[in-house]
Amino acid sequence: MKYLFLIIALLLGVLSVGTYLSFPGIKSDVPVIYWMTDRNAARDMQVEGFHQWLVDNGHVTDQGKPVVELRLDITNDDVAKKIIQAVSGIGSDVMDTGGSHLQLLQTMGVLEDITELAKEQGFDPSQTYKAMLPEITIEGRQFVFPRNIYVMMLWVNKDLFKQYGISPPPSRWTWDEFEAIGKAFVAKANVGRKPGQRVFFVDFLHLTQMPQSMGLSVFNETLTGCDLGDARFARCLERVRQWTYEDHLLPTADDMNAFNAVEGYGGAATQLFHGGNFAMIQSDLSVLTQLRKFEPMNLDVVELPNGGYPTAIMGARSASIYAGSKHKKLAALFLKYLTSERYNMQLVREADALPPDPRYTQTELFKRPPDYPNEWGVHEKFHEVAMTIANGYARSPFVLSSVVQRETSWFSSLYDNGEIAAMEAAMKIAQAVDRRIADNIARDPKRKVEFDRRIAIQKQIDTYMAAGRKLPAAWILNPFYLRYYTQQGMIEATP
Amino acid sequence: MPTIENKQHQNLAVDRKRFVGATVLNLVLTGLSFLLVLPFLWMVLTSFKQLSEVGADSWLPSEGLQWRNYAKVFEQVPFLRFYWNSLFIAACVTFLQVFTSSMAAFAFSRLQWRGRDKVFMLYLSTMMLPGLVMMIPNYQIMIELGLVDTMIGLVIPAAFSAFGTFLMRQFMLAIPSSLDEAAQIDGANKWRLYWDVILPLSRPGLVTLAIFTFMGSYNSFFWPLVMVKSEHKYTLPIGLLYFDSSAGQETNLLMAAVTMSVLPMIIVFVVLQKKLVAGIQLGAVKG
Amino acid sequence: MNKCERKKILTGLAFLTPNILGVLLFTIFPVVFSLFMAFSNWDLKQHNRFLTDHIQYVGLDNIRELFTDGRFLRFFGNTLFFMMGIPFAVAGSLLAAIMLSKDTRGGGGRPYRWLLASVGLVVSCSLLAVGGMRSTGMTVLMVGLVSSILIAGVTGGKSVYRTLFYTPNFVSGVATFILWKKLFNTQNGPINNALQPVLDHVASGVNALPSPMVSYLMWLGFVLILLLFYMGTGYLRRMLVDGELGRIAALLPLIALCLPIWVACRWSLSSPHAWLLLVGAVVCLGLQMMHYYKAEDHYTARAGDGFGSALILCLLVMVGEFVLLGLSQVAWHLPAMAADGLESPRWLTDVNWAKPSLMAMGLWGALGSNNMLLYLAALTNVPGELYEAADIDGATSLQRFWHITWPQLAATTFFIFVMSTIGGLQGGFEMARVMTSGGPAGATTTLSYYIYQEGFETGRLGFASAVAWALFALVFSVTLFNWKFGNRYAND
Repeated sequence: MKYLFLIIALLLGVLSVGTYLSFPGIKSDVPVIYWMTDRNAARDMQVEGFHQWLVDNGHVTDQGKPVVELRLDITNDDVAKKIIQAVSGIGSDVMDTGGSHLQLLQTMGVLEDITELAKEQGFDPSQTYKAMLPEITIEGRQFVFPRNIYVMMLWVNKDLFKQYGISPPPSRWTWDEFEAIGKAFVAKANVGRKPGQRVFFVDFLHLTQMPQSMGLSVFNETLTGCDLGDARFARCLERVRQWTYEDHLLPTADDMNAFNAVEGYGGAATQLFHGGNFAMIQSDLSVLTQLRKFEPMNLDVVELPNGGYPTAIMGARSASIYAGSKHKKLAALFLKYLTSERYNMQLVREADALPPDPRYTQTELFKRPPDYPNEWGVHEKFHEVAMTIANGYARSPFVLSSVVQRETSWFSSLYDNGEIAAMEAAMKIAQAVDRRIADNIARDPKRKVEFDRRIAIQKQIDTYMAAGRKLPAAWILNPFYLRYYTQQGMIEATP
Repeated sequence: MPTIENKQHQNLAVDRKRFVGATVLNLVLTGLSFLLVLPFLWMVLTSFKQLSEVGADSWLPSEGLQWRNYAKVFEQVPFLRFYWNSLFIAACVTFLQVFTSSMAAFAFSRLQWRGRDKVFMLYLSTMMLPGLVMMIPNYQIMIELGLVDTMIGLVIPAAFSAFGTFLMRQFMLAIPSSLDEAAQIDGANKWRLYWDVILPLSRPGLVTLAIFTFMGSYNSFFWPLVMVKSEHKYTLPIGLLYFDSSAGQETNLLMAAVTMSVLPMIIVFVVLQKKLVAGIQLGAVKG
Repeated sequence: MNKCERKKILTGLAFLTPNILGVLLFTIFPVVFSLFMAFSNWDLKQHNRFLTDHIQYVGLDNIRELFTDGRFLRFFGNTLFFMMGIPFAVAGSLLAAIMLSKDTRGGGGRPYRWLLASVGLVVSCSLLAVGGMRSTGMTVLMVGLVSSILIAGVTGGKSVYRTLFYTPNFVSGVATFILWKKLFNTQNGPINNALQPVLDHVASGVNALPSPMVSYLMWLGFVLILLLFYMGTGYLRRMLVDGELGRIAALLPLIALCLPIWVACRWSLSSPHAWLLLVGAVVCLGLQMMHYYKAEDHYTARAGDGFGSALILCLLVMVGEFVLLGLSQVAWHLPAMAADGLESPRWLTDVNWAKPSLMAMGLWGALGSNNMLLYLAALTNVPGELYEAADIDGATSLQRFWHITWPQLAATTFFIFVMSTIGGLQGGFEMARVMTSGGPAGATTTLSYYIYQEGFETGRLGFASAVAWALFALVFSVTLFNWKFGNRYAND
């Protein structure tokens, strides 16, 4: 025993020296910046592209090398890692921050305010889609620049519609049309099919887009309260439940589990879509990275069905600069690189999403990728929707979106379980979110001033609305309502 | 045979009874093993599938065994490097923890000193706080010590554990105290008592702890994830993230990678669990 | 403190040094830190190195919020519910360990006989499978798997079984979770496939009978409950009389015995005759009191004596009473339920069934768990002579277990229970996140998941620390309780 211990100790000692010696030389003559993102083959190419771009644009040292070296730090979606590293002062210089992470990290103050830097270097919001403004800025300040942009649409398996003799859906449709076509489809497609082999019309529908398409946003006009306690949202819940549990247009959680497919990034749905179990799936362009690995299929995309007002959900996977970074100027170069032709065209080639710069959607490569004739005609539809009907997510500065999401899924699952009525669920969601907002204001009195100011405006808005008067545009802080009211002619013409 | 002795007859009856008992035992064990081994089987079979058939109804790869998946794992990521890192870290952690824990356990079980049980309770209580809330202060310490993004930072915090101490203490308690007295009479000092008497006798405990520690360290995910920045220091669980990125999950490759990564654990287990059997003889000797 | 004692302490500390240094540095400091934070308003959204706000002490605000918010209590309830599975899980792992430490060869050195027998079995099974069932690839695969396990087990002995039992620990979580999701599936999961025909038969059987018949089963249930209650109280009485149990120590076990009766009376709305149980229970108690005072010689015990063993027994009886109570409730309601056919549950997606489903999964995991390994190691440490002595006395195998194995395993059992309590209160995180994401409607959200949500999804680390410390207080008291009243073999 004694000798065993000694031998192991010696062995481990020798091995640790060996391991240490075997580390590749990672010393660098130039500063190193880290990019916290997920890891895949495309990332390696983007890093490579960045170094190339630095050389091409004269950001070089005396020896002709790039002025900075970019390295990857993979984190996937792990928000806990981001937070722990960032608040401890050693976050990565460039961080992927999309959606709700942006909101959380920005409130923590760990993201650099890049408004001025962006203007000076040329990656301000005017460089990308207009609808992306609420995804890039918070209260008028810019914190990120999009790496790529997604628009949620329905991918259509045209062959499957042909196989069952149903005409494919129109590119814009209402819920009633959706229901009619869907019912006809599942009735034809599911003859003699066992569970686990069933065919569904679509994989799932977004609970953000549905109320929006009835002119209802998650938050009110001043973002001070939750608007979901509305009969319209209750109708959305009812529709989805009917489509799921009665009409079987959408799979239940149980239906999904009946399949053998594995969840993951777009894993299950894409596999089942390709396998003919879903006539349509809701997703963005990134589905193609997976679909291109399979046999080519006859594809089309259509808008999500609407409840009267056509709309689409649009968002960004963005990059931000860490407030504690020692190389902010160099990190800014990376954000500038995101506007470059080299980066945008690489994104177009991979078909991962829309490129941040809309100009590159006008290229032949984007519209008709030579290797994939089955995708021709699909790509530009995403661009079109992004330019016309798409809206970003509504976020309130007084409550985190993740909290809203949690409350929504809590009560809507109670509704799905038949424990409460739809309207009750809608009301409870709104109440719960409002209570969270009140808690947050109570805990952080600094924000009370701004909150009270907005509440006052909100009261005025409500009286104006009740009286049927037009509203001043400056009052509407929720970008969705601003746009919706403008289109509905409910906004005062500015003098 | 003309005469059958009574004793032999009895032996046969006992034999038959044992045979029936063992048959039932074998059948029950087979049934349970079957239930427990299913996920493993699914994992291995999926690792031989093509991506498009991962979701198929049948578990069997219908397009032939895709040995390419295994090659692809090595092509797409520096798998050997991660393999080595994981193994090496797990080995170091196991060695250090078995050593420190058994020493502390000795003090908590075989030595009599005032305040022993109170200190032990304090020790024990450190395990009762959920680790998540200790994450940030812990991380701060690592930064202060300059251990972020080093292998030492992965080994050292895992090398001391209240868990291991507790485990070893319970095993040492089960050793009859007459042995201490015998050694005491022989004039052995405490170190000799620990090293020559107690340690060899608590071998099943040491082996169990070694298995737990090795597996725990080998599988640990979150700590390495926040600690390590450079790719050449990644461990396997982090390396597996490569197959579940936004470029689409490649379940078949993931399963191939996991299958390969668990091989060392299986080997360690098979080797060490033989030592658990060896405890029987020890038990017989010591009583 | 004399010199000798000081020397003893120093020796003890000397052995502790290597470990204690590390634990002090990497554990004690964060623990103390988080204790302070539990009484502060630390919120990463307001307080970190990039913001100017200062953390303030808010006294007991966080604690107050815990108990007024409702969520904490609910998730706490979930966690406790999951923890009810711990005794079963421990029992399962012990059973597995005992089986795995047995000689699978039956002592006879005739492997050929075994091989022959199992090959025969395998062949007949395969024939049955191919002929009787649909011979799909899956059937062949499963039959092949079973037969290869059997043959490998027979030839390789118990170390093969041990490795197979431990395989769940080698599998990536994804694979396990996927399979369980499929198993629990309502439409084509094996559980419901097997259960539905049974339920159909039960429903049609119940409907065929005249309606009060089945309901009368409830009375049988009530009688059995009272019988159990009588036996339990009788046991307590005997212990009291024999001086094995102190009077104060008898209180909690007695409460445990009465709990199901009380619950039944609370339920009197759903079954109008539950009050009869109470009457029966009072009669039982009266009888026992009579016996107690009639007994001739009373031995006195210290107030706290014998608490552990009485409590364990009474808790077991309590579980039995609850099971019977549940069954009699089912019997009472069955005719009404069966009228429109019985449907098997929607396991994971039903608010009421999600927790039991996850518990079942936990039990499965317990069979081949680390606890099993621990028991295995502890079993090898039991001196063989003890068994030999028992064999000479002609003890049955149950007696052997109860008088030799169980006491010898006490130290390990103590360890396992403490670790399970800790793990149970902190656990359920991965399982809840992957299987059900804490839903439906928070039915499977455990406290650890709550800590994660509050701490890292919303940044309120002060509040998360308070949750953690509330948890800590609970685990600590349970452990202390275990320590004081647990088996005396465990801590000497």
